Amino acid sequence: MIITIPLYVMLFIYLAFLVVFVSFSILNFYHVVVTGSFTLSSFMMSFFIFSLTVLTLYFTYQLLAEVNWQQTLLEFSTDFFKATPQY
Amino acid sequence: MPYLGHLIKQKPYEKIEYCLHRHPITFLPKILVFLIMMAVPFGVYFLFSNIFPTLFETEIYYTLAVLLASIYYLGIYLYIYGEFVDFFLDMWVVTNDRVVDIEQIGLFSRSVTEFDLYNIQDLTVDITGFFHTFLNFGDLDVKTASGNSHIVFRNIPNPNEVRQTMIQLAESDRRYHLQQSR
Repeated sequence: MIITIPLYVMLFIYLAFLVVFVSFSILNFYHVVVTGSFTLSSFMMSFFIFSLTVLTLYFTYQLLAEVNWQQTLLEFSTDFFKATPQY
Repeated sequence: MPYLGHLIKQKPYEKIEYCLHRHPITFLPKILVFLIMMAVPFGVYFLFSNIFPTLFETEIYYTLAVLLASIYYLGIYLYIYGEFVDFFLDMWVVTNDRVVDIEQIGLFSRSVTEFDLYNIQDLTVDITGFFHTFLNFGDLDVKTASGNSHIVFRNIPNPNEVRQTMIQLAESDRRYHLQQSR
């Protein structure tokens, strides 16, 4: 039996990271707003980070738009475990 | 007048004299680290494309490299934003009634200390170092009469001016409390 791991598995890992990233970013922003520190400098910094994030996600999408996500990333054969040693 | 959210319940007669943060120059090392970290993937790309010229022509490696670079960049944005929040949310509020020290420690910890101005016994300014002297920023150590508690305003701009104002405020607060007790 052959077990194949397709490339889109990496996309799921990436999406999981994005969830963590968004959660922590919201938490940081929440801290800034709740503590009454939402001034011009904190707004500028939050806007700067938000812009960089949007740009990074846009470029990631642009660079990976043509990728065939169905192709095989790794292939495991269970025969490896069945193989008898050759002397 | 700055809005202080739910951290401090501002009294009706209370007037905020200072809302101090660390001097912006103290954040510069973090920005330098951020810029160096931003440049690292370009160096790695240059290195790999020279050692293995055909590496990124393989679709799988190319995809993995782009995803890894994207995760790396998002990670460092999170790092710099976290550092900024840590830097910016450390603040010291001086009103005509009390001193409040708010310290953000990481994302999930914050300590708030406050004491009345009339309890202040000793104010010490410490400006040490070339940049501190040149740009006029340093520490202001505020000690109470009991000596048990003290607050350090770290790397604040114009610490001597803040010290002078706090001496005057403490004196008028002390007079006010004396009148109240008679």
